[in-house]
Parts: sequence; C-alpha cells; structure tokens
Amino acid sequence: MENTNTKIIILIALLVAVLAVAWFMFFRPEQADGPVDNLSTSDEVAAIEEDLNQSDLPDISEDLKAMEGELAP
Amino acid sequence: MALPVLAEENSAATRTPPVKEERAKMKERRDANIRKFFANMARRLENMISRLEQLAGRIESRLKKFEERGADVTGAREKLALARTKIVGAKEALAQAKGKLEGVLSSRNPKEAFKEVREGLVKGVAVKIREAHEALVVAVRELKNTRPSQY
Repeated sequence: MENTNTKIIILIALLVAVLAVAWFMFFRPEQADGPVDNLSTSDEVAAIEEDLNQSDLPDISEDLKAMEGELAP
Repeated sequence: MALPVLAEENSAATRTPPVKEERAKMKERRDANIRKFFANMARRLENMISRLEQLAGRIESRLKKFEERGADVTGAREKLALARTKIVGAKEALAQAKGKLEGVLSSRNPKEAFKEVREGLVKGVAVKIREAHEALVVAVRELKNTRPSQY
C-alpha cells in the first residue's frame, strides 16, 4: 500500500515537471517575443508633447506685486 | 492722593507701547509675509523646473531609441541641450534670489534692494523656464517629424 502511494506521488511529480518544461518551451518564448516597450516610440513622443502643452508656466507677477506691496513704506 | 496719579501713568504706559517696539513688530510681520510669498513662489518655480527636468529626461530616452533605429536627431539633441542649459540657469538664478532675500529684509532701503531680486527672478528664472519649455517643445516637434529608418 505504502509502495503504491509513493509511486503515485512520483508519477504526479514527474507529470508536473514535464508540464512545466513544456510550458517554458512552448509558451514562454512567445510571450518574450512581445513588445519590450509598452508604448511605441511615437506614442511616447505624443505623450511628452501633451505633457509639455499642459505645463502651465508659473506666473510670478502677482507674487512680486505682493512682496513689493509689503515693502512699500 | 498720589496713588491715582501713579495708576493713571501706568495705564497710559501700557496702552501706548513705545514707537520702536511697534515698528519692530510691524517689520517682523512684514518680513514674515514676504518670506511666505517668496516661499510659495519659489516652490511653484521649483516644481516647474523639476517637471521640465523630467520631460527632458523622457525626451533624452526617446532620442536614444530614435538614434538606435538610425534616425538623425541632431536638431532635437541641440534643442534638448539648450533646454538643459536654461534649466540649470533657472535653478542657479533661483538659488541666488533665495540667498539675497535675507539681505533685502535687513536692508535700510528694502524696496530698492528688492529690485535686484526681482530682476533675478524675472530674467533669471521665469524667462529661462519659458525658454527651456520652448526648446523642449521644438525638440519634441523635431522628433515627431523624424522618421527612424528601421521602422
């Protein structure tokens, strides 16, 4: 009985090992061939352009006026 | 009879503090306000500088990829270098303005002393940030018009 259980466990372990090797051999390489960079180069350039357009340049005139107002005699 | 007179003198003294003390308090309040305005403005300028640095880094990364694919990115690279020079200039000018602020506050003529700080902030920081932004926009536009040969 104990001998049979051991054989079953060994068989299951072998099956798992074979499946793992098969998965690495047949499926993994296909995934590795996929895009390395999620964004294509032109997409990223467009994204940078968008970010640049959305960058509001700071207007410091009000801050300067406020400081000068404080310094006024 | 003498007591009421003394009491009157004391109460008058507490009601009207010496002019010097009042002036010192006013100066303290004014200095605190100016420091607060300056700190807010400096924080916004630093945020913008940091944002431009990040965008320059992203453009640099794309430039390299374009180059690897055989594209001529000379124009875009020149604009990126110009933008980086302006960013460094803006950072230096902001640091200088920060250093001068305390001098302004302790100056005998703070309004006059502030003119120099103002000049540094406008021409040294704000204008350079604008120029850096423009150079980055041109660099990106040039990248968009570039067609890598290995596409």
